[in-house]
Amino acid sequence: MPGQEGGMAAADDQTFVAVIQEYAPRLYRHLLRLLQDPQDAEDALQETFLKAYQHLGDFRGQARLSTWLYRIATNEALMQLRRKNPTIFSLEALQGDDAYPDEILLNQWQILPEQAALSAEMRQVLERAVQRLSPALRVVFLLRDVEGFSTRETAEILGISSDAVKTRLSRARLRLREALARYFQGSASQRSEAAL
Amino acid sequence: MSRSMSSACRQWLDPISQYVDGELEEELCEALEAHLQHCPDCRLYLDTLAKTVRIVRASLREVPIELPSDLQERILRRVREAKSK
Repeated sequence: MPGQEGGMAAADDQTFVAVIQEYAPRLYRHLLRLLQDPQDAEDALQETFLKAYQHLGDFRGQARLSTWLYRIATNEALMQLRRKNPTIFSLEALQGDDAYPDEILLNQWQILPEQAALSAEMRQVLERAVQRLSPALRVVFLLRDVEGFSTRETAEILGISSDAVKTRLSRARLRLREALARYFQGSASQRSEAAL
Repeated sequence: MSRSMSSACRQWLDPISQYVDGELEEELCEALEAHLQHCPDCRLYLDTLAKTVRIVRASLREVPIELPSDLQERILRRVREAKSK
C-alpha cells in the first residue's frame, strides 16, 4: 500500500528525486497495466512527474502524496486512452460491455488462495483477464484491488461517486472470478482425465 | 460440476462484492445474510469471489518491475528543463 504522508510544498530537488525513486516503479506498473503499451506507459509516467513538479505548490497535504500522484498518473492514462478511442467512455455511467455476462459459472474451487497466487500460470491468467476488462472497469479494479486504495480514495482519484466505484469493482471482480472459475474447471478436468 | 446462476440471484451480485469489503449498508447486509442461509449458489459465489480478491491481492500487488533503462534519468532531465524555463 502506498503510504508516504505529509506535505511537499517546500520540497527541494533532493526530495523530488526521492519521490521519483519511491513512486516511479509502482506508478509505471500501474500505467503499464492500464495502457497495455510500454511506450505509452513511459510517456504517461514522464508527464505525471512533470505535472507533479509543476503543481507541487498545489499539494497541501490534505490528501496523501500517493493519492495525489496516482490521481495525476491515472488522469494522464485516461487522457491517452480517450485520445486513442474517439468513443469516449464514461467512468460514472455503466455501459453495455460492463453488464453481467449471461452465464455465471458455479463450480467449487478446491484451492488455498495464497498458495494458488504463487503460481506463475495463475498470474498470467489474471493479467490476461485484467487486460480484457473495459478501461472503465480496469481503472477501478487496479486502484482498489491491486494498488490497495480505499473506495473513498478511488472515488477521489477518479472524480466519481463511491457508489460508481463499488458497482464497477463488482463487475470487474466478477470477470476476474469467471476467468479463475474457467481455469480451475480446466485444471479439475485435466486431473480427472489423468486419474483415469 | 458447474451450474449457472439464476436470474433471481443476480440482484445479489453487487451487494456480495460490497459484503466482501465490509462496505454493505446494515439493512442490506441483514437481507443478504438471510438470503445466504438458504441459497447455496450465492454462498458459493461469495466464497469464490472472496477467494478471487485474495488471489488477486497476493498475486498482482507486489509484482516486481524494472523501469526501462535510464527512464528515471530522463524524467529528472525533463523536470530540470521545466524548472530552468
